[in-house]
Amino acid sequence: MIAALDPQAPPSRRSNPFATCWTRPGAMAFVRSAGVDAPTVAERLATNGWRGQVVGPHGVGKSALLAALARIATERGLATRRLVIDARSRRRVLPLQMNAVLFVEGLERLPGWRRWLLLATAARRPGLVVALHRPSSAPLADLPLVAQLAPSESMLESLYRSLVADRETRVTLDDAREAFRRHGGDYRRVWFDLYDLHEARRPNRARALGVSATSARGGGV
Amino acid sequence: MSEPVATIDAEVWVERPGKRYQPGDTLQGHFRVEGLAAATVPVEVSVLWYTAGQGEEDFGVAFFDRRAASVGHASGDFSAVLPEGPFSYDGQIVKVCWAARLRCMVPGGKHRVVEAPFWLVPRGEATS
Repeated sequence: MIAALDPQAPPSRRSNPFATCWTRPGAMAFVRSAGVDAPTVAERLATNGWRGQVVGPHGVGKSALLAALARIATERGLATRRLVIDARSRRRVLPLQMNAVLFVEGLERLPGWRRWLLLATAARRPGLVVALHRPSSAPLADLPLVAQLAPSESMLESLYRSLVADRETRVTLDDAREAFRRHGGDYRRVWFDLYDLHEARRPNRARALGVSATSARGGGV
Repeated sequence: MSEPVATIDAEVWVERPGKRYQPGDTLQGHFRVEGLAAATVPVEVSVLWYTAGQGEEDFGVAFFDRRAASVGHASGDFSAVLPEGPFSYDGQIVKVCWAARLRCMVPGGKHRVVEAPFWLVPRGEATS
């Protein structure tokens, strides 16, 4: 029996194929979607001086696409730097070095003047690529739209198959499709649902606990 | 050119049957890597805990060692005295996972990670 469904197996990141470690932004390889593939987008960027914006809703693959584009840029001899802005990093010092193509995720989370500061340096950088949930308004108008990603059932199937390729689960592709429809194509909520479904279908989970909840809390968990 | 990560054959394992340890135990482990084209690619061996689940992740390292590979392969032993916690926990929302981990570096920034998970349980619960 594969470890994920073995009640005696120690818990590990392989215990659930839909855990955050596998589904968080950038963890999955970019899946070609609706005519959007990384080499084509890289060509568009290259002709625009490595400046552009990638647009799409949560969980659609923007981070994975940016990672793929950064690899292509590196292979072409360009220095690259990735900036992920989240709730914890939005007030940290911005990278103002001008020697690398900057790939930015979460630009919308930056306070207004910090966003302005970052964009004001764009012209002096060898490139700036940003990922956004929606096409930019006026302040980003000089960054051309190079890719617009949209969720699709075919992409869902590719992602599902990559997640379960070597991690066994009793969650089926039909389960994934049903969750996809129920959540209107929001991949992030789909993975949350499938995570719970996988846990619910694991055999004999009660016997799989290494310690009781009480002693686990006592151990500082 | 860097070698494809998929061609690297890597394995790490721990000695104890049942894979159940308690605080203060000495974990004995072994690793083996084949298929590295470059001779100087380092491998990292660690014994660590991490959380897995639906939320933010946390981790702690109990043992870490970096070793050089020689002529495309590496193998060796390692040992670590296990700390007082946190204990393994297989919860629905969050799991606390212990593992011996082998990380093989590949030129170009890629790496391959394999793990040997084990239980860390309170004293008196180590019998499988």
